[in-house]
Amino acid sequence: MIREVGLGDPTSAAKAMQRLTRRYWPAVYAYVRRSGHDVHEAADLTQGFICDVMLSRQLVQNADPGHGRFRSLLLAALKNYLRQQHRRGAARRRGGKLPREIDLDRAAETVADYRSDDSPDAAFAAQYGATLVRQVLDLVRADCLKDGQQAHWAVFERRVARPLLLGEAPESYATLIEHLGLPSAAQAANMLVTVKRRFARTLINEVARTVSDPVEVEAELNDLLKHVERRR
Amino acid sequence: MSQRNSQPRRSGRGQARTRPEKARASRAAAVAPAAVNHDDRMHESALGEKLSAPLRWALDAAASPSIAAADWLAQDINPGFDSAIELLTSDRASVEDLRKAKSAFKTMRILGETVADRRLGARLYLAAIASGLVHHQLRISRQSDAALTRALDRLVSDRGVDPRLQQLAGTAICSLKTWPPPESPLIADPNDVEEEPEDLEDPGSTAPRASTRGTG
Repeated sequence: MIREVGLGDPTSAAKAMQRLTRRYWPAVYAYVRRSGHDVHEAADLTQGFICDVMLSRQLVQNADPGHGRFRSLLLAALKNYLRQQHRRGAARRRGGKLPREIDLDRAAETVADYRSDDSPDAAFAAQYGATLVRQVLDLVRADCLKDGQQAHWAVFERRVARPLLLGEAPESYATLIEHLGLPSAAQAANMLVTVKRRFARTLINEVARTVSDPVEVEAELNDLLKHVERRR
Repeated sequence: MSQRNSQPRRSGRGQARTRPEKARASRAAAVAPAAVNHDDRMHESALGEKLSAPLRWALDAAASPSIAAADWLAQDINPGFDSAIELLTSDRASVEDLRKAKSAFKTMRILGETVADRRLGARLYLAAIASGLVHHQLRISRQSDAALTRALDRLVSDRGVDPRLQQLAGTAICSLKTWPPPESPLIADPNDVEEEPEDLEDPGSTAPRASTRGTG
């Protein structure tokens, strides 16, 4: 995606930029919020960073492709931006404004997912990972539906995704067999594995788009995992 | 939620926007988060605490897709076990666990995506039968002694098999030689279904079959 933004034709570059921004605003917002800004300031600064740095200064296009992970670049640029804003007092001058471009309810949900002892860096990494997983789930769901694997997705959603994300009890295989018309629990279990594997492949591909070298994918996944597990 | 918040909020500084503000708003609108639907809400809720499992799937699959698939099946059967080998070699696995494992790995042997999946499924299917013999003195298969012994012999001499499974297979062969075990009143699982003789054959490089047929 990063290479698409930097090298692609204008249309695909714009789409890639849009995806990048949608992907990263929760992490940016999380960092700003945990840095001590209230919800409105955080939303304003997040919007400012996206517009002034990611878009206007073409953060992605100007990134050195041989220079590590996009997540690190993004965080460094954000810290720099916040320092500048602090010096200029711009955030305070804009205080009280409620930008409509960022959904504050969703932002509040994002905040609710933090632990109070999260550092800004930890909140950034956790939200970065959370958004990544959410987007990969969307991609996998779309791919399953496109490939006629509705039943596969349904098994995964009811046995894994909803219990994982909502804390719901996993549906029994007996119920799934009855509702989805599957031949056996063993086949349903293997369908679930097929989707898990698809999820893993898609996640690896998505992470590969954010690193300059494919060999960094595993390191990036381990790094995200380390941040997430530190929060437990 | 998103519908409500997609409505413009009034600025504390009044309605008018400067040209730079309008330009910024226009750019931001193009990249603003999509409408949050039920599924987005589902994805967001408590996700931070639950991230490690999906990240681990990717790491496990990157290391070995087939072993990861088998381990996920084992974890699904009994979350108390981290891996297929742990499930199959532990005396903590119940007969019900082993019966489920046998069915799941038999299906993996038949429908696995890759040759490696199907080969691993065949080995683990056999290991589930061996585990029943060794840990519960129970046959969860109606294969003949001769067919089981031949298949277990192949497992013992298979260099691609984890040594713990080879040991399990070796112990199962010894159990078969003294079958039925004097300490156990159970000779065979009466609920088990008859299996075709080829169920114990290595699937090799054949393509996955169209259906699971029986999963006994």
